[in-house]
Amino acid sequence: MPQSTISAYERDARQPTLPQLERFLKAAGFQLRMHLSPYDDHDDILAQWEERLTPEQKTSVEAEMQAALAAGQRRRT
Amino acid sequence: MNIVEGSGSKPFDPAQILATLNRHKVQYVVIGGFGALLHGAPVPPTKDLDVTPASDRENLSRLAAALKELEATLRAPGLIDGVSILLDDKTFERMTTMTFFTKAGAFDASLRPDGTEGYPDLVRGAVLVEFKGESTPVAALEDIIRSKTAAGRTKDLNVLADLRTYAASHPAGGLPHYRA
Repeated sequence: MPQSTISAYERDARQPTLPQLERFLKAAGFQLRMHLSPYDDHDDILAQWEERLTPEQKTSVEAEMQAALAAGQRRRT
Repeated sequence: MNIVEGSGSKPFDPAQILATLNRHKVQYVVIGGFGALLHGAPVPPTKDLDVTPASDRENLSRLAAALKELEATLRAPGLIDGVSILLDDKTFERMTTMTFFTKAGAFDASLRPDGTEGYPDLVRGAVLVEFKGESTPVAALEDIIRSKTAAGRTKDLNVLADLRTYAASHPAGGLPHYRA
């Protein structure tokens, strides 16, 4: 495989196909195991919730996130 | 099914949820994306508060009382508003994860997050973070990473790489350990 292709994968400019990915993993001593699970609509519901917020409420949510991040970063300084 | 109209459109106020849990003396640790934020990790904004409560009956009763005060309704698949349910210690008997809308936003209680053994496992490494005046027990960042890794969700993959990098460069040594 050309080095330029590997580089494109690393830069997220291209995605390997599933068979290619399996070959890479095999070469590295791994194998891919996939399974199906019931669809989790947790994030869909929260996205709907977010759509229903007013602009002011969205700003307030963002402020809460920033406050949490600041609280965490304060503890580490 | 009794859908509570408007219950799914309350703004997110995590400090109010934490204050209510603390006032009711619920034993819990914050996990998930909000837990990562409370470690100062620059993860994408989260839209809910996830906790793992201790699973003994007394604690679940206290959690149920806190949820009543927060006017919690159950978030159900396909519904944009919550469903009213009876809240007591038995509410959690058959479920390991329950998702709620409250008057302070979305709240999830997970008794046994993926890749963990629940509260006793997570409280061991938990740290105490002060958030808006609330002393908040937060699972160790390494445990949050462990759980997200075990969950194996595609959406977490990029976040996990960032979290691992952050955890490696920000050891939790300076944070006060949480004692339940």
